[in-house]
Amino acid sequence: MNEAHKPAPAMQRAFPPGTESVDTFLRVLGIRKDFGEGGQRRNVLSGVDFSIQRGSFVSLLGASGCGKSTLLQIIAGLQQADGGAVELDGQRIEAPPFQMLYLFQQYTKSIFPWRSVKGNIAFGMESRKKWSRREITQRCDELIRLVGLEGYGDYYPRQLSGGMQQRVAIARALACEPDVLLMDEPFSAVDAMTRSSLQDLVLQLWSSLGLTIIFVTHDVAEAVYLSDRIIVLRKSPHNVALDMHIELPYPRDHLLTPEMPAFLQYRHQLFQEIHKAEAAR
Amino acid sequence: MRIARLCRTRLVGVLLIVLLAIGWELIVRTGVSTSPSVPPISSIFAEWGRLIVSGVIPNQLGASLYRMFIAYFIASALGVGIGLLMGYFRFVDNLLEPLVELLRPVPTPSYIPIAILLLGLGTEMKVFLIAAATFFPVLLNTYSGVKQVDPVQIDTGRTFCLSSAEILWKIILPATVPQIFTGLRISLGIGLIMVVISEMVAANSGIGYFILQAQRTFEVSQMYAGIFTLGVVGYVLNFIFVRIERKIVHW
Repeated sequence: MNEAHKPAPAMQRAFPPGTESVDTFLRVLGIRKDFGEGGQRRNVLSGVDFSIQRGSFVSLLGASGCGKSTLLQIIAGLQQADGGAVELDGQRIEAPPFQMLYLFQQYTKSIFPWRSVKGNIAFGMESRKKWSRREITQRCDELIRLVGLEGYGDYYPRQLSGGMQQRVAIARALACEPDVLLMDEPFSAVDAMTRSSLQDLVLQLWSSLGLTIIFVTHDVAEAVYLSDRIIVLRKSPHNVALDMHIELPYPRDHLLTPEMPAFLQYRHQLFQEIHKAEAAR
Repeated sequence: MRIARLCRTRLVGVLLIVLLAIGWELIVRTGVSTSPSVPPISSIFAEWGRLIVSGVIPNQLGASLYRMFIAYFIASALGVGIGLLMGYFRFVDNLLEPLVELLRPVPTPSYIPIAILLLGLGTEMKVFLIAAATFFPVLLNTYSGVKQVDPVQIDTGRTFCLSSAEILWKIILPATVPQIFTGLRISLGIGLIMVVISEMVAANSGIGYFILQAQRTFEVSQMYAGIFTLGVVGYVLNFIFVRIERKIVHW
C-alpha cells in the first residue's frame, strides 16, 4: 500500500463546523446547480459550502430531492456545477480525478455482466497502466479476500446476490487505490442483514486503508452509525442546514453503538432537523 | 399417454414433415395431381442425392456461400463500426442519420440495374447487392444497442478516468454485443435471399442460377432439389450462428 493509504491520525478530532483546517483535503465552494431550461428551470443546489479533512467519513444526509446525489456527482466530476467549485488537494476538479472513485447506487448496472468477478475488479486497474498483468492478477486475489468473496473470482455478476455484487463494486474501486470514495446510497437496495455487514466492511476498509469517504444516504441511523461527521442538506434554500461531528468511538458495533445515549441523541437531533427543513418548505 | 409425451418434444415437428412428404408422394402417385411440375417427392430426393454425390450441388452452393460471406463480412464490419460511431458520437449521428434514413427503406433489388451498369455481371455486382442488403440491419441494431447502454455504465467508465475511445471499446462495444448479434442474425437470412436473387438475375454459377437453369431446361426435380438445399443451408447456418452467439454472449 502506498503513502496515501496509511491511516490518518487526526480522524477522531472534532472540528467546529465551518472552521478551516490546515488539513483540508476537499473543499466545496458555493456550488450551485439548476436543472431544466426556461420556465422549467429548477434549482437543486444553491451555494453549498463545506470542507473535509483527509481521512474523515462524512455523510451527506437529507430528504429525497434535496440534491445530495447531484452534489456527490459534482464532487466526482461526473456533472458540471452551474456555479462554484470543488477542490481536491488544492486542485480544481473539472473531470473525474484519479484519486477519487464514485460508487453507484445502481451497482447491478455499474458492474459489467460480461466480466467475471475478477474481470470486474481488474477493470479499473487495466486502464491505469500502473500495474503489470501479474500484479493485476495478484491484486485481484487480494481484493477478493479483502471484501470476503473468496472462491467467487470466476463467477459472473448474474450468479451473485445483490450484496455480493456491491462487494465487487467496492473491490473494483479499491483496486485503483483511491484516496477518496464517494458512495451514493450504496446499501439502499440490499436487505437489512446484508446492509449491516456491508456497513461494517466499509468501516473496516475505511480505517485500515485511511480512505476519505463521502457517503450519501437518507437513513439517519445509518449516517450516525458510520460517520464522524454529518452534513444535512435542505430544500429551501438548497444548501447546508446542519453540519455536525459525531463523536462516537470507533470501531463501531451493531449491538453496542446504537444503544449509546449519544447515538440516540444524534439521531433525535438529526430527525428533528430534517423535519424542520421539510416543514419550512 | 405416449402421444402426449411425443407432443412435448421436437419429434412431433419432425413427424409433421414426414407426414407432409408422404402426403405429397400420395397426391402424385394416386393421380390427384398430374402436373409435370410436381414430381413425386421420392424422385426429387433421389435426384437430390445424385446431385450431392456428383458434386454439382456442393459446387453451386460453394459459389453462392463464397459470395454471400464476403459480402456479409464486409457489411457486418461496416455496420458494427458505423453503428458504434453513430450511436456514440453526436456529430457522426447528425452527419449520417438523414442519409441512413433515406437509403434504408429502398429495397435492395431496385439497385440491380445500377449495379449491373456500374459493376458488370460478375462477383462484384453480387457482393455489392448482398452487402447493401445486409448492412442496414447490422447498422441499425448496433446503433440502437449503443443508444440503450445504461448511462450508469458509461459513468462508471468516466469515474475510472477512461478516455472516450476506451469507453467505446471496453464498455459500449461489449454492452452492445447482444444487439449486434440480433442484427447479424437478421442479416444472415437476408444475405441468403439476396444471393439467390442476384444469381437469378445474372450468373453462371450458384444455387440461384442452378434453380433458374433447372426450370428453363425442364429439370423439375433439380429445381426442387435446389430449393430443398437452400432450406437445409438456412437451417444449418442459423444453428451454427446461435451456437456462436451463445458462446460469445454467455452472460
